[in-house]
Amino acid sequence: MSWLLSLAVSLGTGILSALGVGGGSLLVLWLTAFAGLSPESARLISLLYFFPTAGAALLLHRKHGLLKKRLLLPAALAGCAAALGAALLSRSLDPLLLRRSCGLLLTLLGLRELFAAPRKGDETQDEIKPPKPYN
Amino acid sequence: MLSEGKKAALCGAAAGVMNGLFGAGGGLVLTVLFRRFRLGEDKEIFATALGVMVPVSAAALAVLLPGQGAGELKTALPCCIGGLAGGLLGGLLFRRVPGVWLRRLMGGLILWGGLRLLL
Repeated sequence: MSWLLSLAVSLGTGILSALGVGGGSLLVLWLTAFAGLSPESARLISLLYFFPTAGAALLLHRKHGLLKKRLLLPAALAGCAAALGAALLSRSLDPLLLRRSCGLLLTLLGLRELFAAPRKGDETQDEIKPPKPYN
Repeated sequence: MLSEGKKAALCGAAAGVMNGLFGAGGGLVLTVLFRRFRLGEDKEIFATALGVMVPVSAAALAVLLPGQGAGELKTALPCCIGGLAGGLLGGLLFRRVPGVWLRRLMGGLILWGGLRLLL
């Protein structure tokens, strides 16, 4: 797998990650489906790739006052505990079962997001608002 | 009735399970759940979810990284460099992209990814 191709693909997925629309998942798919890596290797690379990508975007999101501090801490603490447990569990699970389960969950989520009716008030959220003070 | 903090914790736990098992997808799950519980406006949700996933991904990596060969780390390097540049570009574009486009784009990518894994 060429360096340049990896760079180009991850540039694209990095933009999507910063927009919050799932660049990491796309990178995993590319690494397994096109670059021929094993799911375990792709998973590891996706996790490593995420830090510089998210870090760069978060600097700008913070500057624009878009981070909700009161959600960050509880979500992060619970998420870390769950991630540790799930990562340990994943070592003893069948990779094909993991793949199918992930695929089913993502398919259901995708259908929901594409076809869910807009919420009342959603139409006002497309306006670009002035940045809020960081809280 | 759950408090906002407890709702956020539940969402974070679901995202953590996703990232721990599959190495990706936790942010997508988190964004969907934050919206489901109406924990903020779309742009705030997308940005905050990204912030939550940094420590969550670090936790998953702490388990998965030890014992890995140098091959994966070499392959990760161009991905990290590209990701850094993409992250900066995406951060600059973020405020200019309407929220509804982000949701539809996310939904389409999730669906495509899910179908690829299933089929």
